[in-house]
This record gives sequence, C-alpha cells and structure tokens, in this order.
Amino acid sequence: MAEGIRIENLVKTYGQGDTAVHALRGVNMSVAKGEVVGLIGPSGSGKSTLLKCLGAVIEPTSGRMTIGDRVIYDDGWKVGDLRALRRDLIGFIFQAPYLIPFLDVTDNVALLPMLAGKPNAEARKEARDLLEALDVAHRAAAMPSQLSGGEQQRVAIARALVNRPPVILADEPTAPLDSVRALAVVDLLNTMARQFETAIIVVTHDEKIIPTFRRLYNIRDGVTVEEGPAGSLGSDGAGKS
Amino acid sequence: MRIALPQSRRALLLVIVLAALVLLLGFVALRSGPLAPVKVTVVQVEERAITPALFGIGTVEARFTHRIGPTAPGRVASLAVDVGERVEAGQVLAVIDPIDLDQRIAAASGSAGRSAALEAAAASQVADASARLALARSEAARGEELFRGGWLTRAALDQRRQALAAAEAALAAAQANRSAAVQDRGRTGAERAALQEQKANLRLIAPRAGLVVRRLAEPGTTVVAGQAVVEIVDPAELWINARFDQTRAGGIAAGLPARIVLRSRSDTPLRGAILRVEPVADAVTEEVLAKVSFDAGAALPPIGELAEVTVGLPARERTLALPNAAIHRIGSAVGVWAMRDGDLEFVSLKLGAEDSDGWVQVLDGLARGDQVILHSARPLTASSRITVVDKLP
Amino acid sequence: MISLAGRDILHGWGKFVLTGVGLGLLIGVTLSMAGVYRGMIDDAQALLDNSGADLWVVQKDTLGPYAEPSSLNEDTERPIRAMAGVDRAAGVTYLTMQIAHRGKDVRVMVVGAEVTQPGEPGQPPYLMAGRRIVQGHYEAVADVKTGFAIGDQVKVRRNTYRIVGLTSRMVSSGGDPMLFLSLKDAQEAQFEKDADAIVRQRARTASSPALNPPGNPAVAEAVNAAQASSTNVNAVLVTVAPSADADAVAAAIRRWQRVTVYTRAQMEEILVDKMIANSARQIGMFLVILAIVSAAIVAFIIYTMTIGKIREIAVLKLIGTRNRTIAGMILQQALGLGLIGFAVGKIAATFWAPFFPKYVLLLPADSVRGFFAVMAICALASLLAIHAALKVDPAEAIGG
Repeated sequence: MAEGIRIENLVKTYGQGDTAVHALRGVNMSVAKGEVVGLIGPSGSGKSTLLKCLGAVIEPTSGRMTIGDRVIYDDGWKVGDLRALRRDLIGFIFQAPYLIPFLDVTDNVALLPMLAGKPNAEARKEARDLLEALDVAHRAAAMPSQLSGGEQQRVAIARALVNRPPVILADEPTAPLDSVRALAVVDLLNTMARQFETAIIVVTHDEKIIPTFRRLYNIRDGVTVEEGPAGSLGSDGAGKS
Repeated sequence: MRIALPQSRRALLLVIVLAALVLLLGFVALRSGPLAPVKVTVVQVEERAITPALFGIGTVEARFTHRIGPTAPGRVASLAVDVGERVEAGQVLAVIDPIDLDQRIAAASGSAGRSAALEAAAASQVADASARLALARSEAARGEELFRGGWLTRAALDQRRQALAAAEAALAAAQANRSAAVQDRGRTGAERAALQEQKANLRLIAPRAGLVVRRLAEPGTTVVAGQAVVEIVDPAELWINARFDQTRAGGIAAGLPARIVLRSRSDTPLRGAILRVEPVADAVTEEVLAKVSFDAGAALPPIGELAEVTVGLPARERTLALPNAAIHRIGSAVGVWAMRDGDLEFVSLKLGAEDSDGWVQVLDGLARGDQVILHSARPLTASSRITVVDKLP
Repeated sequence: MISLAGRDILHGWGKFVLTGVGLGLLIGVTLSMAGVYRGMIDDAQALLDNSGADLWVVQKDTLGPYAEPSSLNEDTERPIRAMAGVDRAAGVTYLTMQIAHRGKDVRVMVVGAEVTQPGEPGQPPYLMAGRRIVQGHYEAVADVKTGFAIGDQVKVRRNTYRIVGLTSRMVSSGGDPMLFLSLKDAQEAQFEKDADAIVRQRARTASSPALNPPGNPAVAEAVNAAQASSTNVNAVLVTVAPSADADAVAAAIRRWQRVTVYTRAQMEEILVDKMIANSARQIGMFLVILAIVSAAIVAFIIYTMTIGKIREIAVLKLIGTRNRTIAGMILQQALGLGLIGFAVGKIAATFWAPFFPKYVLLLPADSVRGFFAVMAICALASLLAIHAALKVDPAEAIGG
C-alpha cells in the first residue's frame, strides 16, 4: 500500500535556552493510505503539538514530513501556501463537528472544493455524492443545527473527505458519543479510509475505541512508540481487528 | 444556483424586506425634498360678473362741530351745561367773569353826564356873548351917528368900535366851546356802549341746537381769546371720514352705496353712501379721503368710533375671471402658469377689476375653460414637475 | 465560490435586518441633524428669496432689517423708484411678536408689504390656499407653520385680522413663520402702542410745560398727534431692472439717498455668516460628534458580530479559507449593514422631518454624501473586526 504520511525525527521545542520546553523530541510515524491508526497518549505528552504540526498549523523545529510522495517539511516548510496545503492534502475531523452554521449540509461539504476553485455545481455534486456515500444524503438540504449529533459527525467526515486528501487528522472524533456510535464512527472511518485511499490518524483517549486500531502510536514525553496490533496494549485487553 | 433550496424561503423573505426598503427609499428620494414634484391645485378660467369693491377705514365724525369760546381773555365764571346735555339755539352755555367791566361802564356813564353839563354851560356862554354883541353893535351904531353930528369925539367912537369887535370874538369863542362840549358827550356815550357790548359777549350762547360733547374748562379757569370752552355737535348729522387706498380708489364717486361696519357692532352692518370725495388726498399716507353718510334710520354710533367702509363699485359685465392667487409676476409680465398639454407655461395677461373675494377680470390672454395653476406648494418655474391635487396643504 | 457573507446574512437575516434598522435610526438622526443645519441656512436663504428683492435699502449705518433694527421714512422709496436701473421699490416692515391663537401663543414675524399689485417685493411669491389680500386693511396671509387656517381671526396688537391665504416656507431667519399684512396695517401694528400706553403718554405730554404750554392747548394736541402717527418702514426692497447692474444701482442709491444699501450677496453674508453662524456651528459640532458616535457603533456592532463567529472563522482558516475571503465576508457584511442602515435612516429622516418645529432640509446631495460617508465608515469600522478575525489562530479549532 502506498504511503500516506511519513514523519521522521520530528522535533518541536517551545521557547529557547533554559526555559525551552521540548514537546516533541523526535517523532517517527508512518501511515499508509487506506490505513487508520490511533494516536494515544496522556495529557501533556505532546499529542496536541504533534497534531498541530501534522495539521501544518504550527511549525516544527526540525525533522521531516512527507505526505504521499511530497516532502512538505524538511527542517522548514517546503510548501509556500500552508492553507492550500491544508485544504488540498489534509482533512480535519474535530472533537465537535464544527460545521459552518450558516451553510446548509451540502455547502458545508462543498465549501472546500469551492475554495479550491471548483465551480459551484461541480463542488455541490461531489458533496452530494459523498453525502450519499456517508448515508446522509437525505439531509443534504438541512442546516447543521437541524441535524442530530451523529449526522453532524458524518457531515464533518464528508467535509474532511471531500477534497480526497491523502491524510485525515481526526481529533477525538468519538468523544461526545456513546460506545455504539463511537464504534460506528470508527467503522465508518475504516471504510472511508479504504474507499478513499486515505491515511487517517485518530487522536483519542477513548478507551472504547482504542482496541479497534490495528496500529497505535503511543506518545510519551515527546517520543512515539509504535504499538499494535491493538489489544496487545489494551488496558481492557478486549482487542478486535 | 447561488441560493440553495432550503434557504429559498428565507431568501425570499429577505429579498422582500430589501425590495420594500429599496422601493421606499426610491419613493422617499423622489417624492420628498427638492426632487419631488410640486403639488399644485388648478382652476378653470370661467365667466363671472365681477363686482369690484373698495375697502376703507375711517372714524365717525360729526358733520359740524362748534367749538365755543370767548373772544377776549377772561376767567370762566359759570358753566350752565355739562357733557351729554342737549342745548337749544340761543341758550346761554357759559358766562365769563366780567371782572371790572361793570365799574368801567359806570365810569363811562359818569363822564357822559359831565360832558352834558359842560355843553349846557357852553350854550349859556354863547347866549351871553350874543347878548353882549347885540349891545355892542347898537352902541357902536349910535356912536357913528353922534360922531357925524359932531356930538362925539373920535376917540370915543374908536372905543365903541373896539368894544363891538371884542363882543364878536367873545361869541365865536363861546360857540367853539359849545361844539367841543357836544363832541365830548358823543364820545363818552360810545365808550359806554362799547363796554356794554363787551359785557354781552361774555355770555357764551349756543349758535344752534345740539349736544354738548366736550366741556373744556371749568369755572375759575382763565381762558385766552379763541380758546374753546364748550364743544357742541349736532348728533343727527354724523358722517364717516373714510380713507381709501389710492391704488384701488379708481372708481370712487359721490353717491355710491357703502356698507359700514362699526367696531362695536361688527355683526350688524349699516347702510350708507359716499357723500363726497375730498378734492385733496393725503399725500403722506397715499390715501384718498371721502365722507360717507349714514342712511336715515340707523342708530348712530359714538363719535370717533372706528368704522370699516366697503364701497360697491358698479358691477362689470360677465367676463372671464380668475382668483387672484393664480396671478404672478415674472419680470415685468403679469400672468398665470397655464397647463398646456400637461406642461407649465407662463401666460401674460391683461387684467381688469378685482372684487372683494379676490376674483380678477381677465381681459386678454386666456380662453374660457383654460386650466391654470391656482395654488402651489413651492414656487414654480417652467421646468417644474407638478402633481395636481385637490387641496393644499 | 459562494458568498459567505450573503449566506451568513441569510442565516440570521432577522437579526441582521433589525441591527441594520437600529443603525439606520441612528443614521436617520445624523441625516436629520444635517437637515436641521441645512434648514437653518435655507431659512435664511428663503427669507431673502421670498422677499423677491435684489437690494435692501435700510437706515444709514445699520445692518437692518433682519439683523438690526432699521427705520426709514416710507416715502424714501419714491426717489429710489425714480432712479435709473431700479425696476420696483416697496417699503416693508418686519416685527417679530407673539400672537395668541386658540389658547396658545404663536410666535410670528409680522411682515407689512405692498399687497395691492402682484409681484411687489416683500409679498409672498406664491400661495398654498386662499387668495391674496384684496382689502387694504384687516386681511392677512399666513405661513402654514403658524397653524392658522383660512377664515381664522387673529389679533395683532389692537386690530383683528382675517386669514385669507396661506403660504409656506415664509420664515424669518430665526425660523418664525410669517404673517403678511398690508403695509399700513403692519405699520400700525409695529408703531402703535396699546391703549394704556397712549393714555399714559398723553398724561406725560400734558404734564410737561414744554409740550403743553399754559395758554396754548393746541400745542399738546399737535404733540399727541405727532406721536401717534408713523409712516416709517424698516427697509425698502428694490428690484433691479434686468439690464442694470445691482452693485452699480446700490452705489447710486447709497450716494444720492444717503442710506445704507445691501446687495443679495452682502445680505446673505449678514444673515448666514453673522446671524446664524454660531448656531450653525453648534449644530455642525453636534453633527460631527454624531457621525463619530455612529461610526463607533457600527464598528462595535461589526466587531461583536465577528467575535460571535470566531470559532467558525478558526475552522474556516484551518480548512484552508484565505484571509482575503474572510476579510471580504466581514467587509461585505459591514457594507450590507451600512446599506440597510442608510436606507432606513434616509426613510426615517424623511418621514420624521415634517414633524420638526423648524425646517429640516434633506438635500439629495447630502444624502449621496451621507451614503458614501456611511459606506466609508462601515468599511473603516470593519477593519477592526477584520483585524480580530485575521488574528484568530486556526490551531484553536484543534482541541488541546
């Protein structure tokens, strides 16, 4: 399987000299397209920092990041336009859906292709196809506030997928959900990863879903430890593949 | 498709609100303020009989006012009448204190008696001188005869002749004396008559029947010659001294009927007529003066009351007429704004008489049925946009 | 690309429109204030326009008749009428006084003008209702702002006048509506004293040995008569023949009649620059403050609107929306708000303007200026909000 994202020796240090905080001390990760991996770690482990670096929102101190076969960071950004990078190469799924309240479901999804310059009709068609795939096509005309939490999360997933990014970063996507729905979301992510050939990194500390990951990266004190398949680490041991 | 379907209702509402706002704004911008059309009312030129009227104001005055006073300075001794009293012709109104006049009359009488006595004395002297002359004459004649007979000396004859001449002179002197005494008597008599006449003048007599309207001095007041003490008018003969604006007073003439409204009786107009138009107008106030008499039978008002006089001038024949509010002046042309095919056009007019309701005769410039602007909410120009309304404001 | 601003407005249009209406009322107040200012100046202009004069002949060395008292003999007009270049000349009197009407006092400027011929300077140039004065006495034409109606009887000093016509925009420089009488009536009103004063004056005359010498009562009567009559006017209004030069005619009158003469330009200077300058400046100051307050309020409204959307803006930035797009959204909303506000303000100002006691003049040019000012203020005000939006860290959207 082709490589989705690769991180080599990523270092992020906040501040300088004596007060420097070493958030990431050399992280290595690799996620293939179509694969869903978990990223776990206690608070203050550098999980958020890693996510922000992956999301090209903050700049790492050193290291190397490759998405697909494109080097985006090598001791410095290798792309000029980080926003275009985020728009085209990275999909985001947040803890809450964070849909744009004044756009309807279709336009929430179609916004990204529109921002990328696609004609409105085409963008909307893509969005509707995706909503179809995600089983929320019947709410395509609704406003976000009219949707249930699960529907909103599906729309959010559709939005993350719509530009067919090689990488999707999901930040605690199941936090507000009960275990049935949480597992359904993970299933969906797995399906989508395969269907859309995308690497999905799920940042979570949701015990319910941790066992579902085939591979897990555990981050502690700024260093990742690859684990898995899931279950070998599981606190409850009830792993499943 | 810019607006998605579910939002269409929302969008429709917003569009309605915004469209309403835009329409209202457009309405407001065009219908108010300087861009708005001027609201006007129109009137049709019609035929009408114009009865021009002339309006003037004046005060009620008595036709004859007698201001009676002494001809010589004096002190008012007594007043026999008071304001409001009616007097008859010849009635004594007041008496001026004669002061020393009686004494002067007595003195004059005394000196007349003395003159008569002197005259009598002079007459007896004449008689005495005549007797002496007769005696001297006969003695002189006898002396002539005696001298011719030689019975008398020449010296004695001369003596007799001289005595005759002396007697003649004495008579002439006595006669002169007597005529002087006669003249003196005549003078003192006239003096007394004059004083008596003067005494008669101190009584102020009413020259005609009338009403005392003013009492200008009280007993004890010293008045100068000619100063009025009592004012008398004839209340049956009042008129109005009316003033009319010169610019409109063209047709005013004696005999025209007038309607008189008194200040105190504004609801009951009186009838009257122009009695005469004064030949001299008031140059300062630029008014024509006229006297207006009341018709008989009216209860007469107090003198000095303000009155409004409307004089009806002879009615003109039915001609085209317009209300005067429609008439404007542009430069030196007087005319109206006429509606011609919905456009405004200033039409110069020749105008005639105007009546008291503001209708003006149109002599030339318009035809019957022409529509002209009567009132407008703003001044008009030829390029004004207008909306015709029924009523302003 | 879809219009984010449009969609946002559409989503909460009720709130947006209400905010716009609120802003609009404020803009309406500002426009009205400008209208009040224009109205003051226009009142002064109207006074000059409606008098129909080209030249004002007044008492020597006074700023009369509007700014200072001035008194001339009525017959001053006669030699002026005969001068070359003079078209018409008419005496006029002005007297500001209070008139009791239906239980309340109305402040009016009583104007005495030649009324017999249409178009004489000083008389109202047009009527809204009724007719011109026909009778030389006891008829009046009133400005509608007095509240008098045709047929009303009003008492001016000792005489009662019947309103026969109505006109409009005939105001003094202070905005008091005018009441037109015939010149003679107005002279009487202006110079005539009340009955008590006359009686007292007569008593004073009678007690003065100089005016009432003993033995010559005619003197006192003559003095009383002289005191009671007046044929003075406040000014003579002159129109100049079309071919003549107003300044030259003014100079000729000044030289030969030994009076002060003002041309239209000089009169405007006296009225606008000298009489109403301070009040106008006062209003102007208020206008400036209102504009600043309006601008601040627009800024706050737009800032608050933006701050309420800060999370969405962070998400938009995270998923790759350009700054330009976000700034455009805020700017468009601000301009939209300004548009609604301006429309509402203009409409509101127009509708409430007639209820002001004094004239409010809303000039189209002022509205256009106001429109651009509102748009500029909105654009400026949105800068604050745009600055805040651009400072939002997209990382905020990512938890932790």
